[in-house]
Amino acid sequence: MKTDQAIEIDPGSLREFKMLFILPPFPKEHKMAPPNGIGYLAGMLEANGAECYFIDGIKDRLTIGAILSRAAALKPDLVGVPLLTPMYKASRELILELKRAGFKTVAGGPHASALPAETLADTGADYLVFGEGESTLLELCRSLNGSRPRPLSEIPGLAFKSGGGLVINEARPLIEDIDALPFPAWHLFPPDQYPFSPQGTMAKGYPLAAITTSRGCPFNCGFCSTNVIWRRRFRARSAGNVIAEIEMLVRDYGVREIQFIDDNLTTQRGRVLAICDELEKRGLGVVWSCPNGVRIDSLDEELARRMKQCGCYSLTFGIESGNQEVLDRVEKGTKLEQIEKVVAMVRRAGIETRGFFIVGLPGETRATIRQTIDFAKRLPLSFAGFSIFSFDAGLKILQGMGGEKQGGYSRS
Amino acid sequence: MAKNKVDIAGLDWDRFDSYRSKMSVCEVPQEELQALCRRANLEFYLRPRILPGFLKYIRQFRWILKRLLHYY
Repeated sequence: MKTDQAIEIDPGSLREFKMLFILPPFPKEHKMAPPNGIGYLAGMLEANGAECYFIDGIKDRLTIGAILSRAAALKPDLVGVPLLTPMYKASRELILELKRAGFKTVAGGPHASALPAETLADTGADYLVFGEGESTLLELCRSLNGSRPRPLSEIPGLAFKSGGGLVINEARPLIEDIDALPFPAWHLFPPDQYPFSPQGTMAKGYPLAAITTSRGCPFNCGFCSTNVIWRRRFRARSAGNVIAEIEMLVRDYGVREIQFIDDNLTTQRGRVLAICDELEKRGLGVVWSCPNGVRIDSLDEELARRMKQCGCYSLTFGIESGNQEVLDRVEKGTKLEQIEKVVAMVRRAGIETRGFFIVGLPGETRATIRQTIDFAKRLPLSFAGFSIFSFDAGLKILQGMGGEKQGGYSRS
Repeated sequence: MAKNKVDIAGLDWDRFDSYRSKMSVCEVPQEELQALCRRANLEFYLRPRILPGFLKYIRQFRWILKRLLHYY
């Protein structure tokens, strides 16, 4: 991998450029949450002078026809559609319809990053951004509006169609300093326009905002596809940068709860303590939680107590299984005894404990699933979420297992 | 650059959503996995230690319902 890249912002470079982001209609989805990833992309383009718009086909329960009408009224120069494996079909249908209606389209997201060539060919999108998207999309837009014309073949992280074929450029290095990223464009999806529990978990305060304070995870769990984009590299925002975003959310949107949706907020203990110190010092009056899951092995009692003092009321743990062999097979890197100790310790610290469990991991039997249920009941958890193992493109665990039987597709 | 090979056209994307994958990768069939998942939730929540804590969120459920009705 090449060296990391710095961010370069030129507020005039996208003047009069209109970018529209669309979440496709996806009736099966019950989570209606502000899309953090789109927020960052829009924030970056707006910092460079673009006008950004957003249509949420999930929250507003829109048909493709209604989306096309709204899009036509906005007259965007480019339309961006995210691609996640669970909603791939909905995104693909939307892109095909947008193309038929004459819009220029760009696809991105985890599924597109895992399978860029296949996705570009299958969806009919004009362009595809794979990997970390902010700089790639910015350079594509600058190239399209002519402010900084650059051959598309020289934009790292971009895939596009050319002469009846597909061009997949080299991967783009990760952004070196993610503090340099503009904040997500929250005005496109104000927190008070979303349901009380946008992430699908229970909350205490409203409006609430889900934010990410870091990118990537240094661990390598076989059932998780986060490393498709973040490449197992952990990069964190500074405590000051995180608090500045929280202050803005409280001041401008009246936010009363923050949900940290990092892959693992507590990867860097000192940084979490610094965030706690700042939250306490500034007296922002927000409660907070980590509904995405915190790793058992990145918490200690002192840290948990400090988090509680500074407004943390709930931690969710990705426990996954009650069978050690299953945990080892998916390379979770945790031990059952350790899980029991840490969950009890967090509970003693006065923080509500929640656990995620996966049923049907590769190699599971009825007996191991029974062990998982019994383990969940034995732990001092207030809530537990049991899910069936599902697939995202690019997952390590299924390569060589059943992916080939399904046309060589690897799933997570 | 990802090196996965895929026959996307051959896949039935209806099989995928966030909560119910329609494919099992272990010896337990998909239908049974769904039944076990339901059972896990029932066994976990229908206990004296858990249920009261869960019920305290009823006020929030009402609130959630109100918000949802507001939107739909």
